[in-house]
Amino acid sequence: MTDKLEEWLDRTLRELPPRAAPGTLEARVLKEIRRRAAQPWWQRGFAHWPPFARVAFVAMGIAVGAFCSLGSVDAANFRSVLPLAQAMRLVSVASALAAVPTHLVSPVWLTAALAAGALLYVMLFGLGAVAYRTLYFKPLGGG
Amino acid sequence: MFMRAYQDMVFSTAARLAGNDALAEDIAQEVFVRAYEHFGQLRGSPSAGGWLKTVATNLMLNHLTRYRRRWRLFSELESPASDEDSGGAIDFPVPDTLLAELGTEQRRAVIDAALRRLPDHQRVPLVLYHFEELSYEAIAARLHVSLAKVKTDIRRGRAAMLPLLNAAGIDRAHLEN
Repeated sequence: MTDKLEEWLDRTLRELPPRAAPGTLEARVLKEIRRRAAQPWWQRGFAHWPPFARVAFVAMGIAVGAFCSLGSVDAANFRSVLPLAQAMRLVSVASALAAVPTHLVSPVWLTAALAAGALLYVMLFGLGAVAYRTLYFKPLGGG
Repeated sequence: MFMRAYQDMVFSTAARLAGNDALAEDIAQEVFVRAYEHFGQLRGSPSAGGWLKTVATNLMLNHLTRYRRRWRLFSELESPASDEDSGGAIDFPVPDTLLAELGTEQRRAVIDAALRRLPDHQRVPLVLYHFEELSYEAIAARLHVSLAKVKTDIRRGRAAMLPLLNAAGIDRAHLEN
């Protein structure tokens, strides 16, 4: 009897027409689309951020992680991690990249780009330190 | 218009899983907002309907999963031996004429009302099985419950629908004919 019930219910349910959506649905969807379109990018989901902001956010996260892992490096070793000349070169490259779109973007974006450049510099500094410590640095008395 | 072509299907999918029109409308709204974000790919695509249905089902199941602990708790309190066959299942004979006298729209309203009255742990697998045509195994995987529990809940859901249909105005004589 259960098979008969299953068969009957299956047939009956599959034959059912769809329910009519409420008349308010279309207006609600359009209103929500307009509301989301009016939101600034930082209030949207990460997937909707501009590529630049996403890269900067990830870079900042990596930088924070890298700095956390550098807590035990003493000053002498830290200085040797990233020579001054190399650091200056990185800054000049970042500045050059930041200067490219000056005629295309607003000052707000330029400021944000410079801030991102600074963050990227910090990230590279941290990554360089971690890479040196991991690959080349042998602590005194260590193996 | 794209939305008018699919809004009934999307709303029906959400409403049958939710058993709650307000929640179904929220889910349908989110489905179409996401469709708007992918409109370039969906416009003119023959698989747009399938995409919308899948998103509606996933959003609904995600919503229900947030309350899964409460849902499972109630389910297990109600049926501590839920993995075993129920000897007390309602066993109505079901003639082919059941609901046949009702018009299509009346039949839909009566069945939807009966579905709404089922508890979540019976309605959701029942809808996934009969409307979404998922297998028992697929439902168990989607709901993260055992295969035996899915089978038991679906069987009990079916059995529970008959008295609900009867209470909704179906002539008892049809059921026992």
